[in-house]
Amino acid sequence: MNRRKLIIRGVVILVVTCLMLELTAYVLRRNTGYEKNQEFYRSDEEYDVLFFGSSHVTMGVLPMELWRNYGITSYNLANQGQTIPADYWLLRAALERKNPSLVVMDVYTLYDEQKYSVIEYVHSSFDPMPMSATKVQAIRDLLPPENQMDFLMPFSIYHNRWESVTKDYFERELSPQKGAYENNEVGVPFVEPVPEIDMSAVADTGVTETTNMQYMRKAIELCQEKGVPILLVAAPFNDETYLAEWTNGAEQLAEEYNVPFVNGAAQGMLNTMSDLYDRGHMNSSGARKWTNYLGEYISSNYDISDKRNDAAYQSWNEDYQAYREYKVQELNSVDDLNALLMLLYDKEWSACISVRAGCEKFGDDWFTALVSNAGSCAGAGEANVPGDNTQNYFCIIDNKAGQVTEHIGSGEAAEFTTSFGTLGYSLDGDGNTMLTLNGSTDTTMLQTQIVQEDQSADEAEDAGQQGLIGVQVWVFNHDTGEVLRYSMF
Amino acid sequence: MLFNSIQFLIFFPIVVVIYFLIPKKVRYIWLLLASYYFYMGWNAKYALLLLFSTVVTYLSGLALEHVKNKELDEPAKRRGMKICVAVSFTLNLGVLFWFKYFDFAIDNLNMILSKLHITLLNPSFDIILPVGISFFTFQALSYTVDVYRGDIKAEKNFLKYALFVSFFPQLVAGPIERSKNLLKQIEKEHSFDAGKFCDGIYLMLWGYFLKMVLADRLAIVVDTVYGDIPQYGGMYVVVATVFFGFQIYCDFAGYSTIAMGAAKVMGFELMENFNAPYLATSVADFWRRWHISLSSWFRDYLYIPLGGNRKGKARKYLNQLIVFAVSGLWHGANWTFVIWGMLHAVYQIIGDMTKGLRGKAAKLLGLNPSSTANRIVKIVVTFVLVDFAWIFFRAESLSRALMAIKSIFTVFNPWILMDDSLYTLGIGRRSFSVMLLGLLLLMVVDLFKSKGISVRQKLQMQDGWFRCAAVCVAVWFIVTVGIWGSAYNEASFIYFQF
Repeated sequence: MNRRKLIIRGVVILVVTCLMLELTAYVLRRNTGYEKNQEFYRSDEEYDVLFFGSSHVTMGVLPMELWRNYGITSYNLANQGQTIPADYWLLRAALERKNPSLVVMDVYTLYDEQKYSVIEYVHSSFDPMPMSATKVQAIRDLLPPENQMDFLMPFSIYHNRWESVTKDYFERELSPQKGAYENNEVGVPFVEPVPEIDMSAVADTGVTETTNMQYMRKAIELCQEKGVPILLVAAPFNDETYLAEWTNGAEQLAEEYNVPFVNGAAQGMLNTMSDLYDRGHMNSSGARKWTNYLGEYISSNYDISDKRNDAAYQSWNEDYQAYREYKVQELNSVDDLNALLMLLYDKEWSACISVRAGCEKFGDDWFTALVSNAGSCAGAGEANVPGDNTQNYFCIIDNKAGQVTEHIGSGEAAEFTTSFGTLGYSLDGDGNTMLTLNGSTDTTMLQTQIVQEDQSADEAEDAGQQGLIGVQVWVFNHDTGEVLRYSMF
Repeated sequence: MLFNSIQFLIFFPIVVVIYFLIPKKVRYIWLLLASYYFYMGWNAKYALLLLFSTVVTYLSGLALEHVKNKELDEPAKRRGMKICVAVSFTLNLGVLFWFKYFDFAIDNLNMILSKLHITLLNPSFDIILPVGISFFTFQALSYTVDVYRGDIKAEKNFLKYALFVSFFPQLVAGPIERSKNLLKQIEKEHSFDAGKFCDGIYLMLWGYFLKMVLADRLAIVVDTVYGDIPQYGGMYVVVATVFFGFQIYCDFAGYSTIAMGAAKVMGFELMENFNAPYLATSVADFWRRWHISLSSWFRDYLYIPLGGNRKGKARKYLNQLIVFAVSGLWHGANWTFVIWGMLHAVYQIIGDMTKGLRGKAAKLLGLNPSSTANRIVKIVVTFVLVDFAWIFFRAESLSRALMAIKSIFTVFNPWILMDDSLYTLGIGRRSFSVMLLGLLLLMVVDLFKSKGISVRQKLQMQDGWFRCAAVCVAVWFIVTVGIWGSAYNEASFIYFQF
């Protein structure tokens, strides 16, 4: 074999092997970060607003909700455990490829000294970012030398995943949430007092300069240098005292740079019984409230137009449909009454809730708070489950009409006019609520048909025989009258 | 830098490309520079030790040559030459002792002194063992002896000699080359040889497979068990010890094979260091197949000078005990290694003493010594003996080794071979299956080798594009399935903690 032939073969081997490894790396890579943020790096699209922060922002700001209600295009580049130094580098890389009208940064880690929290979280934030000089600088700045190779060549850490390859590894889909992560659980309300956190250094001496604060300064200066407005925010959560102290530094920093600061904790918008996943994080009900609050604020204070009817943004309406399908899937995947009630805080759909006389849910503060929260979404009045458990309770939350109707009685048949049709209400022989829609008998058995789909026949029978059905919930598509979910508990 | 590091994968192609681009006359200088750079990747300061050993043995060679050519009477000449050898050995072994055995010697001295109620010595030296010191010291010393014996002439060119001692493919873990072989090749000018180049690549790939796919995977299981013998007793220890036998084979043979391959890519032929050792039919046979460059070193430079088997049975047995005890010490400064070495000597002595008896017994039972069944039995018995000795090699201390042995005989849990217990030792079912299939492949290749069939040669005879495809698949497989990079922890990734 002559030297020329050998070189050709060498090059072919190199190219083919690299292609094989690239393909393998694609299959084996950890997808969390990619499914969340790859759309941002892959598309040429411009965004009105970019959000940065930790899990409070990932779970607390819903770009598609912002689109639906305000016509604002945005992307949530926050991530769990993401510190402000990581935010700074992500912002820098983002501003190299996008021209947003506003950057929103959360201040949660402002008093932290460390540049990163958990190495795996940094992977989620940086793995999807295409290789660039900025990415290399970020890795060198944020991480210890022994971890840097894993970020420059993520295959070095993910190749071992060949041991757990399943069909899912070959079916990678992007999240329709534009970087957000909706949490569809309701945390047990905390009755214990919030533990005291020693913030005396902050309270007594004012701002203590931390590593994260230095990076926040760099982020603000970068935005000012590029002429991009920046808004500092503190996402609301259940430690309001703590958060109020925490935000002292943010207020001073905002004042120093003459940038606005919105303290979410000070707005009292969250209901701790319904809007939290845990003490520190919002669930999707809380996220909708915080997102809409930000939407109002941004629409009022920045020159960002509503693009919902702009033909150039038609793809966002299509994306919203994909997001809606995702939400319906989620609606049908929760099996917990509390989670289902929490998901009713969504203008996307309307709902009916019935509670049988004698049910233990009467007088249950948590249940009452969740029904009330769902009703508050309609905007006009609230649902209040009465404390008297001797009568049946029936409630219609009509989000399209912005109306809540409550019916209390011994089971007398009744009719209600809703934005999705006339609902006929009655009880069957076992005392279960039966509904008809627009007098159609086809829908009389609505619930049982769905029961058969949702639950095994045995379970339904057991529940019926033992008379255990205390609460029934219907979720309607208020444009078509289609039942999206029915469950009995 | 290690062979399985990113640094080496960058370093090696650069060295090779430049090596073939520069004029042949200066290539050895380039290799010398590369070798020192390679060694300094661990600790730049210790390159001075390498240089020291090189200078001492180089000068001893010149001095020996000088004395040889001097017009002296034979006894005076002998005396002069012995002084040269003694100086070279004293200085080299002195350095080796200081860095490798000083702490061990002090610990033992302290133990003896404490029994006599004498105050202990408290050395305040924190000595880090320089990488490969045992290998390059022995290689350099073999040169002194070879010149003394007149097997080769002393090398005049210091740089060429320095390359012989520091040649990077085999510098830190062998094979321990002989001056007769390697120095002569350094003298020669090497043209690019596509056949050797490809063969070298195949060797390297096989070495990487042994090291990254097998040895490092076996190590996970072995470390889990040997790290907690009280928890993993009985059959776990048996399995881990069998795996350790293969781990050390794959690790060491893997390294040697990569070394041979890397040298071959540049046109150098290094000696074969392993020859299907677990197909040996006796312990003596095992040592003809295992770490051949070291065992032949001990044979040529220690066993034979001690008298070998020329001075009667008793002396032969004593020589064997000495050689294997020293061999054990060479592997590490710990009594566990000494016992490991001496166990091998005892095996061979008992084997020799019972040879006649075993022959008579076989005759009485009508066993055919050349039958396949007899050969298989011998292979299995040899493996069991060798593997038992590995317990001492692997355990951190004598007490741990004894604990492991005791556990084999006192903890009864053979069911772990049948249920899924073995998959809880650090690697899962798929990884375990790959490991077992890999070991099967290794044994098949070794079997072919023992029959004189070279898989590499068979591959060389295939069509060029087939070979290219084979290389692509091999690289892809090793990189994907091999153990390298940061430990991946699916749990820490999956766990969604805010």
